[in-house]
Amino acid sequence: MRHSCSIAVGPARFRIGSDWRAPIDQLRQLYADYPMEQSVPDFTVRLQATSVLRRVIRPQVAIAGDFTLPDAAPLPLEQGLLAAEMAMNLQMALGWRRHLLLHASAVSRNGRAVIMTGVSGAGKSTLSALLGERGWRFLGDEFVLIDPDTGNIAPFPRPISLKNESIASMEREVDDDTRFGPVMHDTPKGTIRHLRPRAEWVEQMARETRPALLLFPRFGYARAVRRVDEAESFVRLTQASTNYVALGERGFDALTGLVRSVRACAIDYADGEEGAELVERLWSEQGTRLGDRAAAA
Amino acid sequence: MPSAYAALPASALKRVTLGGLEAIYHLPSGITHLLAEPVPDLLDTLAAQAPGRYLTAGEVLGLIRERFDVAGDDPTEQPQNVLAERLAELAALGLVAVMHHA
Repeated sequence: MRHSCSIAVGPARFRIGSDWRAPIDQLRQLYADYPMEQSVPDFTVRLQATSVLRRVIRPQVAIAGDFTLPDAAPLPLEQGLLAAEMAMNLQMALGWRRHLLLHASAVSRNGRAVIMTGVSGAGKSTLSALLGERGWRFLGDEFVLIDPDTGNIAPFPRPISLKNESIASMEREVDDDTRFGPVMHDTPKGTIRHLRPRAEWVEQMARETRPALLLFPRFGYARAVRRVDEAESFVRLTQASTNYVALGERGFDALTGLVRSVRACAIDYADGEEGAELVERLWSEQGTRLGDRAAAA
Repeated sequence: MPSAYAALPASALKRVTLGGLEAIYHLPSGITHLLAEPVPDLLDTLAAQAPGRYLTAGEVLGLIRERFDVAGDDPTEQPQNVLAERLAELAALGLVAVMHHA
């Protein structure tokens, strides 16, 4: 490929090649804090023209790589960065086998993590971004990687993909404009703008954390908290995992171990502020519970 | 003669209690099952037998009655028939071994 870069996020190494310079330049900027050494990648992604002419005339970016979806529609070159991000997600979702992968976000405090999972639009990205600016360590907004041997989370702190209304709310939250990527309008998911995690979260991305609380957030509903039992958590997480079936027995062990070891709640909230406040409240209750248990022991 | 059932070798199933349900991983197929009461008890009853011993639904019912009160919601339904249906379903899922008598 004419242009390329290598990026390491958590335990995964990507090599991204492109027919055009712009998406690679944008990636280098967005991933400025990440290791970029040229090593053997886990995955290769290619952003390529749909035809020779399409490289220059109304250029269209098609995604190719180790794993692809046959019907993926090409994106205009202005959304090349999004194409690269989507392609990296696809490689992880379809190809990663070292961890149990959950489509979820996560933040941690004092080495113990909150996992937040839900369908697209449930607010897990925005909540993790918000908490990452308010004293929590940001572990990832797209995938949570559970080590099947230890049950720990391997952080995967990619730049946060902010969508539509959450862009403005995070622009108000973050003073530093250089942490934002370009605004991409009219994408298949609406308007998208990436936010670079704080540099310290990237520096610490090799440090694993222990899951402590599992949340199923739903944005845009009247405030409500409901306890979720182990069996329901298990079913919901098998649906949220992209590689549960592929991992076989290791996946079963990892997932049953996870749902038996953490408290789980479904939370409904009307806006980001309320969501962040609910997470804080459940976290402090969790701390009290753990304290009680330690005292009883 | 009615069909008879036996537990699979212990190495074929991984069973984990999740609240009131049980998650079962069936190693030969790689399929996960989530089962409610009384299915785990049926599996336990079969697993408690000597290896290779097959029990009919009537025999399983006799053993279960020793530990639990058996009462159906529907008085016209024979517990033995209900149990036979559940065991046949478990056999169809591959979670118990079945022997059909000619």
